[in-house]
Amino acid sequence: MNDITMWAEVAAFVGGGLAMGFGAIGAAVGEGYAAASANAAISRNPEVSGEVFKTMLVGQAVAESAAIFALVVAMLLVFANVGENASWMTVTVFLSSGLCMGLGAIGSGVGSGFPAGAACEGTARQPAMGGRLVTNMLIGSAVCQTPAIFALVVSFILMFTNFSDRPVNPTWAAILGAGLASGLGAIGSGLGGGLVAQASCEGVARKPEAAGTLTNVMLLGQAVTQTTAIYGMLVSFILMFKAFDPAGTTLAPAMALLSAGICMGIGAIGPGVGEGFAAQSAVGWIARNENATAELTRTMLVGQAVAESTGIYALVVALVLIFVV
Amino acid sequence: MEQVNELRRRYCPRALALAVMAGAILIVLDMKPIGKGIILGTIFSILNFLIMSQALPMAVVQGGKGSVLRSLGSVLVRFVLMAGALFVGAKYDAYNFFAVAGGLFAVQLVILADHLLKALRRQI
Repeated sequence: MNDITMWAEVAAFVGGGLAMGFGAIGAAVGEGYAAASANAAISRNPEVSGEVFKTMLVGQAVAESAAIFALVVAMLLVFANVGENASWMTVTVFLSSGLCMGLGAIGSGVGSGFPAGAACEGTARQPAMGGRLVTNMLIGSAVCQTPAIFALVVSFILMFTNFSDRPVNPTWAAILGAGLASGLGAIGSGLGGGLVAQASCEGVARKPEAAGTLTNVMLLGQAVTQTTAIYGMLVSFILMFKAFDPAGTTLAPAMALLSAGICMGIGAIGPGVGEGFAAQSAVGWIARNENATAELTRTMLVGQAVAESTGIYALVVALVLIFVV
Repeated sequence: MEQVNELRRRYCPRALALAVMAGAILIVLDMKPIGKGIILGTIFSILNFLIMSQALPMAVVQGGKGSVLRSLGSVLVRFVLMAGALFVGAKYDAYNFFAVAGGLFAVQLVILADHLLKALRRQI
């Protein structure tokens, strides 16, 4: 076994560990939040403990999906067939795909726990609305999983694309940057989407007759929170598929590409959460005053657009780092 | 808990029936590894849900240290089981890895589809 093959195997194991290690954080926190809310709900209305328990179980099963995505990637990496053709790029591919999936699962796991918790408390308040609450929770939680799915897609593309015809320098940095852009970029959107879905479940429990409006505004708000995760995926795709000129031994071009990924990934966290707050508040107040739905939705969208601007700055700087520097 | 038993009775047989149907169709269409992978993944998804729904009420009833140990044990067993299914998919050509991975979400998908259909019926 040559040195590179050994390092590629090491990277596959480390990547697998990172994928599952980071990936377990979000789902565990989300499931714990759901259980904590279920306790509060049962304390409020012990007669419906069975229904609350059922809601918690279904919510936790969905919140766990992000950890299962991470498990899939971890197993692929741990049992990866490295072969004798491994290069230094293989090393970065394994590390990057593990990081991408692990980080990408954090936001979705935590976010999915919020609607599950709110549905448990809502079931205790309005036992008659249990079915409607669970449906709303499931839709909200499913949308929360989208950023983790983006990270899963990027991880798979990294693992199954042949980069061997590209120059090692700076492609190694582009590969790492791609994983970080999607992985970090998914955190904020997952959390933000969860906040919106939480408010929607609370709203359905507070005002059941506004359930349809609340679900629709929730989906609109969640769609906007997902945009920064899409920016992260866009930067990842550019980094993975753009052909870069060989850089010899110079580090600057490689660092520009790595920085582009870090810039977009970190830059997407804040807007995702901020847009989540804006939509959470709008959905919450629509439940109190359905007549103001149009004004609240407009304010929500304008607020989200402004919160999004910092994500756009990050996208612009990332694109400058890729195409200009 | 009767409600939890009801959940198990409602979703597990449906997930298995759908997986067997999809698997059988794929096997007939000469996509054996995909068909077998979906069935294998679904079986482990059901096992995961059964253990989760069985262990949670027991953990709640037990209380204290026993509850924590039982919860951790349940998580460990469930993830080892799912990792086992993925290991089979990764190591044996008879099973398609991605089909096994997809099958692991069968119960979640059946829960989601069931509630969406109910919501659709309510609207109609």
